[in-house]
Amino acid sequence: MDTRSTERILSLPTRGGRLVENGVFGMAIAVFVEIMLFAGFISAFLIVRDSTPVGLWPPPDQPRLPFERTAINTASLLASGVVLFLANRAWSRRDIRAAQRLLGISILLGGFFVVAQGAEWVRLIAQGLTLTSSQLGAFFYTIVGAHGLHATVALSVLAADWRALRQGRLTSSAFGAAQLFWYFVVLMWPAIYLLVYR
Amino acid sequence: MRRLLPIPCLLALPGAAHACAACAAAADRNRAVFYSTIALSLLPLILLGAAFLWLHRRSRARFRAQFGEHEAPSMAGGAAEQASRPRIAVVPVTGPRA
Repeated sequence: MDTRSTERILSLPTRGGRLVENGVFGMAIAVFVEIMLFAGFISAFLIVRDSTPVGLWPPPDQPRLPFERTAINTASLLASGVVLFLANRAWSRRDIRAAQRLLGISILLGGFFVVAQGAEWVRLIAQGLTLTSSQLGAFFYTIVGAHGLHATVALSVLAADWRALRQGRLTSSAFGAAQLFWYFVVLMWPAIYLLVYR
Repeated sequence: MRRLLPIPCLLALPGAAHACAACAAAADRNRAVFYSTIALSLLPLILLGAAFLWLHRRSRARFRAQFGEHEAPSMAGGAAEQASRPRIAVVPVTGPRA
């Protein structure tokens, strides 16, 4: 059987490959839209608050927002973002066990935030702050509710990624998109917390 | 020319244009409106700029990772630099005749 010899240069770089994965790019566009949505919400809130006569904001007959108590939730959410970053680093160096553990911790911390926010809502509703009780209530439940909804969806995505990681079929595109979404949720919260709760 | 006629008319009579009073009036209570307008106008530009900057840096880093090690050796490099560079391996591959 005749054979022929060819030469192959092994160390030349491979061509092709995307600069950004499809999932990350799509999520970046979604996050762009979401940032503008929240900017609009917060802007409207600040305009209404600043146009209220002095001494009437927050409305005297409405409960005060629990700034100090919410600091615990805030710390939990920020810690969740840091742990997710560490999970990504572990995943990058192919330490699957550590990545799975850290991703689980990040989900738990995020879950604590959502549950604590829910408990806070129940308390505030019991005290008389509802969506229709005042402008404060309307803005509070719209802005914080939209953020809570995003946090819940992002947690579901992270949980799906955790499961995929466990089954060994997690892709960098899916994980990158989920991370981007969660970082958006984490970094949007301090702005809401400092502007709306204070 | 007829299409451009409303512009000087509106500039001459700003009240008739129903322009946003908040942008023009320097009242303290309109400060939030003023800053919000600026922030909401600049935010998309900042986001797009940041995205392009990130893509540019990522693209450069990737280009360096791919092609950096294949640059021509410098004249002053000497034997030590040549030895530290990855060598291009030429490997004979045998296969069936096409």
